[in-house]
Parts: sequence; C-alpha cells; structure tokens
Amino acid sequence: MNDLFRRLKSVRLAIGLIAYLTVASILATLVPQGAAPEEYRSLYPGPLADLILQTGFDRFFTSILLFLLPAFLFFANLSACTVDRFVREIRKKGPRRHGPDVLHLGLMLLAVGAVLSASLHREETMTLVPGSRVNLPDGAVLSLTDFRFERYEDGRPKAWTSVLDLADKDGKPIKEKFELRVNTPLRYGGFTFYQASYTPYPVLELRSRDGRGVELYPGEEIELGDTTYYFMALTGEPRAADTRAVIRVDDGRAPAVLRAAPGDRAGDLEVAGFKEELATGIQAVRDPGYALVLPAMILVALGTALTFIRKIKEGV
Amino acid sequence: MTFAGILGTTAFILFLAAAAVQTVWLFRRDGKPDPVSHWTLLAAALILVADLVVRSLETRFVALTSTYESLLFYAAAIALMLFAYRIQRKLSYRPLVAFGSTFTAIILLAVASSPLIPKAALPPIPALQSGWLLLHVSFSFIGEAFFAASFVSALAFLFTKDEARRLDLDRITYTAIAVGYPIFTAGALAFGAIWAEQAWGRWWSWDPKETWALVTWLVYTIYLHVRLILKRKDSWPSILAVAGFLCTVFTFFGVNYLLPGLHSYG
Repeated sequence: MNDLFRRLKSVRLAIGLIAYLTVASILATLVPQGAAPEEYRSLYPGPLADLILQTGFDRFFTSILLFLLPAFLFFANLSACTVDRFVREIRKKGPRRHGPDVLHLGLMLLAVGAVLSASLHREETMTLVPGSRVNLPDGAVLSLTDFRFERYEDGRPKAWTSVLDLADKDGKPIKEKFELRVNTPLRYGGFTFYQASYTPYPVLELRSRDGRGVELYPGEEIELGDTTYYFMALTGEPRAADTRAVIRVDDGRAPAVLRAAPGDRAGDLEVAGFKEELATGIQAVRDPGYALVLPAMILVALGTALTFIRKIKEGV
Repeated sequence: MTFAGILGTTAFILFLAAAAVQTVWLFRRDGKPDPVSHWTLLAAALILVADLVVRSLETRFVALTSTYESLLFYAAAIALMLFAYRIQRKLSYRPLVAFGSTFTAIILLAVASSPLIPKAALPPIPALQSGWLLLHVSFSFIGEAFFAASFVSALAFLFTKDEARRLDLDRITYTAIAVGYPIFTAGALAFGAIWAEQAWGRWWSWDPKETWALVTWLVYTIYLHVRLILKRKDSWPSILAVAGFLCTVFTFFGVNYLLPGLHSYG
C-alpha cells in the first residue's frame, strides 16, 4: 500500500501525465472532433482514418481510454501529492508553505466541478415572441414583453435585448422588465437564462370590415364571431410579390384552407399584408458543477499567487 | 493619419530607438545596462496606453476587444515589464534579455501595422461587451509579457556554455515565469471561464483557443515541476520555457487564423 502511494505521489508521474494530456490535447485541436466517419476517410489516408475512429480520437475529450482515464489517474496523482505535501508541511517546524496546497486543492475541486458539469449540465433553447409565457418547473412564469435588436451605424449588432417579467406561481412579481442581454444572464431557481439567438418570423396582418387590425403568428388562431382563423404559414418571403398566406377559415359549416394575397378576403376579414418580426432565442441552462468551478478557480488563482509571491520574496 | 495612428507610430519609433541603444550596449564588454532605453520604453508604453484611451473614447468601450488593440496592449505590457526589470535590484540585469524582449514587442507592433490586421476603432459586438473579457485579455497579456522575457532568457541559456551565466539566466527565466504564471492563470483560465459562463452558458467548451490556452498553462506547469526535480544547469526547463512561449504565440495567432471556434473574432 505504501509502495502504491509512493508511486502515485511521484512528481515524475505527474510530469508524464501532464505531458501526455498536453500533447494529446494539441493533436485533438488539429484533428476535427465529432465529425462523421466519411469526413476522416476523406481527410486522412485509410489506415490513419481507421486509427482515429477505432481509438476514439474523433471524440478525444470524452474518450474513456484516451482522455478520461489518464485525467482520472492525474487526479489520483494530484490527490496523493496534495495529501503527502500537506502532511509534510504540517509536521514542519519552520515556516510553512501552503500556496501549492491551496493550488492543488483548487485543481482537485475544479476536476470534481468539471465532472459534475459534464454529466449534469442541461440546456434548452426556447423561441419566444413578445407576449409569450413559459412555465418554469417550480411554477414560476417567465414572460417576454419585448425584444429589441439594436445595430451600430455600420450595421453590426450592438445589442439583443429580451425584456422579461418573472413572477412566482401565485403571480407575485420576482423580476420586472429585466433586460436580458448577451453577458447579462438572468439567474433564478437553479437556472440561468441567456440571450442566445434570434429568429425572424412572419406576421399576418388582417383587417376587419370596421377597420380594426389583427396580427397572427404562424400556428396562432383567433376566433371572431362564429369563425376561427388559423394562420398556418407563408409560402415565401414576407416582402416577395408572389407570397401567399395559408389560412384555415372555419365558420362551423364549411372549413376551408385559403392561399391569400394582400387584398384578398378570408371569411369576414381582409388580408392587409405580411411583415417580418424577430423572435428571441433564450437558452435555459442548469449546471450544478459551476457552483464548484467558481471557488475552485479562486483557489487556483490564489494558490499560484501565494506560491510564487513567497518564492520570489525568498529570492527564488 | 488619425491621432491614434500618430500615437502608434510614435510608440513604434521609440521601441526602435530603445532597441538601437540596447544593440550598442550589447557589444560593450562591461555588461552594464544602458542608461536610456528603459525610459524610452516607458514613454513608448505610456503612448500606447494613450492610444488605447483615445480608441476607448471613440468607441465608448475599453479598447481591448480587437486583435490590433490586443497587440498594442501586449507590446505596452512588455515595455512596462522591461522598465520594472531594469529598475529592480533583486535580479541581475541582462542586456540581451532586455533587447530580445524589446525585439519581441517590435515584432508585435509590426504585425499590428500589417494590412492583415484591421485597425478601425469599432465598438464591440454583444458577446465582447463584458468586464470579464477585459480582465481575461489584460491579465493574459500581462502574464504573456513575462513569458516573453522568459523565452528570451531561456533561449540565451540554451546558447550559452558558461555555467555561472547559465545559472543566472535560469534564475531570470524562472522568476519571469513565476510572476507570469499566476497572472496568466487568473487571466486566461479563471477570468476566461467566468466570461464564457456569463456569455454562452458554458464555462468550458474545448474550443480550440481554450484548449490551446490550457496547453500553454500545462507546458508552464510541466516547466515548474521539471525545474523542481532537475538540476538548474539542465537544458530541459529552458526548452520547456521556449515551448511555452511558442504555445502562447500559436494560441494568439495560429488559433485565430488556422483553427475556427468561439474566439475567431479575437
């Protein structure tokens, strides 16, 4: 047992494992990851492509044999080194150096956080239009009140902003008019919500005989009097001349599916036109591992600083 | 030429002047440091910082979001590091290390002035509008400025036969890495991960730039452990210090232009 521990805490073993992980990681950035087998066969000679696929190098960072096992061995080596070093420092009579212990502890915590993150990270993207509501697992409701896409004068994106209201299951406001932007996520109930993307979507503009306007998104329906209007889709780009709206009109007697252009009638309504608006893409992420990663990073940074400030003070 | 352009050109001329003075002093037998070049470098660094301030006022955001701005900052960090190296008393001053580092900064500014690098002062796209990004970039380059000095002293070590000189150069290499490593760790890894979590919802994605920053950190980690177990006259630590700096160069330039990923704008 002592012999195993002595071998496990070896600095030479640490150097060997770090060197392996370094070289293998470099190669993994040069070989495409997660591609289809045909791509490797088109990029590399047959035997090399087969070697990449058979060893699992095409998914290096999730490969048990090539990455996870050596990384686990490194974790064991680091743990043994840390325990051994800490015990030696505690037994010391003179001044103690705990900088490397803090650094190693931070790295161990980071490894645990990384494993939790890799196995428990969950994410989902929701596409919302203004007025949409999403029920969260605890009963709270997230509603989108507005989405803005601002550009600089040269046309580059300046900001995507989703304005959100968050209320608990009883309707009591938790956040009002929260401006969700890239780099300004909303954290609530173990979830983090990110401004992730946007999607253009068509809007059908209808007008009633008395001049009142109605707007429908694809998949949305409205009931006016005895008639239901269901906007199915547009056949093309909203601004193209030959684009038609596919609308199902059901007056309870003879339901019909129409392909209507601006100016055409659909039941009692007139198709006033089509336009394009933007839907926001909000990513909901749950990552229990990050709670460990943050303190781990602080320990690593603190540990390196403590270690080398001390060494430099002592004249290296 | 814009005001910012005039500042950049002036700084470049000052770097060249410092290198010229250092070159003359390299051939002196007494090995004494020149009395001028560190002040010239300080002036160059302050002018580069002023250039970045002007760009920041134009874009209304801290100008540290484009390759051009990063190169200016990196060169300024090297110049300030050399000034500190010159005025400190603990380490022996090696004119060759100062010259090599100044030359590295000149190369960075030459790359910055090339037509391949866009120079327009533009406000950042949404992903780059983050205080964590600024910490990530600034700390990374300050750390790398020290790695540049360690690269020069490690190269000098490898081409030197004199034992006493080798020990001295080894100490300069180690000290530069000992200062740069914690700063680089905080900047490239810790602040980078925090920014990534805040911007994309994943603190680590094995993106090529992230992986290469980790590779750089691992190479310096190997250096620090190898130096623990090998004699200081051994060449391996210096070879690793050279390799570490080459990794920083590839992380900055190679990954941007050769390997696509999340950092393809930076």
